[in-house]
Amino acid sequence: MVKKKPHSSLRGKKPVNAAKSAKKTPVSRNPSHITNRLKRSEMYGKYLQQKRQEKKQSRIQRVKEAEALGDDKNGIKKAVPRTLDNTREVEPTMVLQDPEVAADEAEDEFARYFHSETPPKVLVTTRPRPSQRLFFFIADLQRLIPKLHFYPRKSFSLKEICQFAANREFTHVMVLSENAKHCNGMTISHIGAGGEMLGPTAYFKVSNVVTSQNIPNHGASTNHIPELNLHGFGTRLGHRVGRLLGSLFPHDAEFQGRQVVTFHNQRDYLFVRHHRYVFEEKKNIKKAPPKGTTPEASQDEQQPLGIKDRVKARLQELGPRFTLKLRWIQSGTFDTQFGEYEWMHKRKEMDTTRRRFHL
Amino acid sequence: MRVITGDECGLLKESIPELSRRSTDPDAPATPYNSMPDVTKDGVCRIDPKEKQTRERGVVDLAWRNDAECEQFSFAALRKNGSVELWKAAAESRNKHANYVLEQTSKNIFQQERPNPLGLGVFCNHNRICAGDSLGNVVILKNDSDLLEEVQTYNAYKGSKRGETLSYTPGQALNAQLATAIAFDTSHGRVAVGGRERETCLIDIHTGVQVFKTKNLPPDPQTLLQQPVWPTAIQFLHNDMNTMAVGTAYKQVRLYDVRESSKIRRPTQTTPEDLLEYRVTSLCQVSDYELVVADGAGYIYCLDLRRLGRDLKAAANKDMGRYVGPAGSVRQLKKHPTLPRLAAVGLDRMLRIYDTKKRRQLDCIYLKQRINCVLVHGDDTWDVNDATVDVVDPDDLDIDQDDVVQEYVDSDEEGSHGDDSNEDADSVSSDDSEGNDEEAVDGSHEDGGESVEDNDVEFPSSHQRDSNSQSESSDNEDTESHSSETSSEESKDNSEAEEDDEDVIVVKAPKRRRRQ
Repeated sequence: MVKKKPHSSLRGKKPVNAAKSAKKTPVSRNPSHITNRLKRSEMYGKYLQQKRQEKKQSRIQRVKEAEALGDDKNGIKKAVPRTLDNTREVEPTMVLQDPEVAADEAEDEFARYFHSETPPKVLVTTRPRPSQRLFFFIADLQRLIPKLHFYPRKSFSLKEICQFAANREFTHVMVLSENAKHCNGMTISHIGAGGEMLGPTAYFKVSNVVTSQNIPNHGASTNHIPELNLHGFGTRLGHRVGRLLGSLFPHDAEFQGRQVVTFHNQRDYLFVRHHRYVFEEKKNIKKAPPKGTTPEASQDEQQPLGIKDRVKARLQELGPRFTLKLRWIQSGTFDTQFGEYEWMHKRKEMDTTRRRFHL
Repeated sequence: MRVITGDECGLLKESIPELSRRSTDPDAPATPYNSMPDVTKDGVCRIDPKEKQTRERGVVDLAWRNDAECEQFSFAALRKNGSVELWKAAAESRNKHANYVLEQTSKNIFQQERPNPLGLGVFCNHNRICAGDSLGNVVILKNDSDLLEEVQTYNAYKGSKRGETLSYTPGQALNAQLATAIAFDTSHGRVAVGGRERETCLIDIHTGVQVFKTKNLPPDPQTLLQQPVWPTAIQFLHNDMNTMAVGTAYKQVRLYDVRESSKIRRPTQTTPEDLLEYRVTSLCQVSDYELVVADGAGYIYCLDLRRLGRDLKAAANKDMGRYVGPAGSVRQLKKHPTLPRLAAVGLDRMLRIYDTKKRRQLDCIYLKQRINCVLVHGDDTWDVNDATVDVVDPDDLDIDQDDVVQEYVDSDEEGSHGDDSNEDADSVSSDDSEGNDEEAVDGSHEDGGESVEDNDVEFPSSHQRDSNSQSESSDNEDTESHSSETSSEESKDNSEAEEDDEDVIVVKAPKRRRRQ
């Protein structure tokens, strides 16, 4: 048989065994661009393996470095994990010690409450025909917010209720809405004293409501006016919401009661908690030195403790625990028909990245 | 471009968007169409830094005092306590930022203690400044630079009924809304005032007589209920101010013919019911047939006036464009006198500048207070060269220029093959797939890479011959496709391209057809 001549296009080339000369190249990028499923899964396995290797190497490296430094704690760089809060998109409306903003806030609708010029008086009501569980929540709210008065809704419209409240000199109206026996919405409207500064109306989505009965080791709240803790409100919108919530409370706190209400904003969710705090001091007890150690060594250990080590604060949770999320703010009172919105959350336009928060 | 804004705390600020734009290198790829510009705080300067910031002095409205062609820019501001201020641009203000001088200020021009002013307008031809408040009082002042004399005060509603006294009772919401919208017809010297459940009426500024009063649409034939009216935004349209657009809080926009000779008092056109969802807060005409409507929730729509009919119950034509951006109610919209730019200002404390042709947001400037009114300068000293050029839309560009397609690297060959890409076309490696790797589909050249067949259906095979001859001459290009190599060799061997049907067809990739 005639040996088949290699094709003329292969003239001058020698066969090469690619498998022999294949170098193990590191898989540097995520192999998601490979369309072949088998190949892709294979390369992905190699990719993950490689990543784990790298992680292990860096960990070994870190341990070595820590050992080399010994007791010098300043040298070790603690790795800070990257979180959404760390990498939050810079919001230009963040308030950073601005005199203009301070002047604006000194004059807005809530300044009166923060200066204790006007005592707040809050009216709470529900949707028509509320369920029984909502009443437990309202009872809890009455312990949370001093000067909260409940009125049944009957079948009045919200505008009428605002009118009645204004007649009886209420400053805020709070309406709870619910669905399937769970409270799912809260509208807080500031009606102010007199028609002058008709404040904003804010609607929050309520979730994760836990009444005080269901909180383990809860305490019973007293009549003392609690302290207020507004934490995490950074932007202008955040300031506005924070001031609205803060105006619900009178601002001459009775420290004897040792109660504190916290509104903590994290990633646009407001966590509402009610605690009683107590400070406890650690007494410097002389312990008998364990057998075997010399008396001098035991004396070194009994140095007087600093304030931080000595006094500890403990918290006891009271009252309800719930989460709020702002949906919109309207300027003026309830007016879903003709109202002007100061801020409305439009999900598709505003939530473009996971790192963007508005409050 | 320069924009002057007045906010509810009484601050007047001038913003120059060009100063606030962060410089982008010309090599950076064009931003995609739906990306929002960064919000900036620069380029803003207070016009009145010495004035105190209080809510009582909140600015309600701003208006230009001179015609657009005039050199000396000066404007008038109406404040919440009823005072009117006249500001003039200082001598060398063109190159300086926010260089305005307060010329004149008056005290409360309304007779009331605590007026609720609505709007301000300047009639250049008649030399008058006019301001209205929420009780329907319209005060006319002389527009001289030295004096701010009050000429007359009219009440827009008194003309209709005799002996009716209008007063403001605190606590009664309705009384504070007797007039909720005001607009000024500068060419004819008329003022339009409208209120809650009160039809818009036009009064003449010289005589105070009610010249025109609009009439409502006929009651609904099925329920026999009157259509409620509550004008919240009135605007006279450009065509010699013969048409008046009224936006109501009942989510409608109506157009009326307001010529002096007109006998038709009912609206000539109206938007259908379901079109808008919130109360209309401001209107602005952008071109001959386009009207931009802003509502209370921050939605800005662009209405085509040619398409509006008279029927309220018509099917809502939802193919209007939208200007995306504001998170809160838009208080005022103003168009630039010459350029196709629209400024929108509202309760979310941002000034946004849009390009009206593409409805694209160009700038977003954070002004720290809630803004009530805006004025756009015709001055072009700060304009960048490309301000007059249309905004380039990356969709319109040649797609070949923009696409950067990553070189396909087969997993087996990663790292070891990279040298092959620059080899001669003659040295073909044994693997078929390797040949595919060599095509760097760069897109920047018109010789297409591995082109998908559906793109080039229309091209006959004769093109192949052309590209073959081309590829022979340009042997060492990276962008030669695999089959061009084979076909070039085959043509050397004088064989027909039998395998070409299975192989990739080499054609000159055309300019991609714009998807329409």
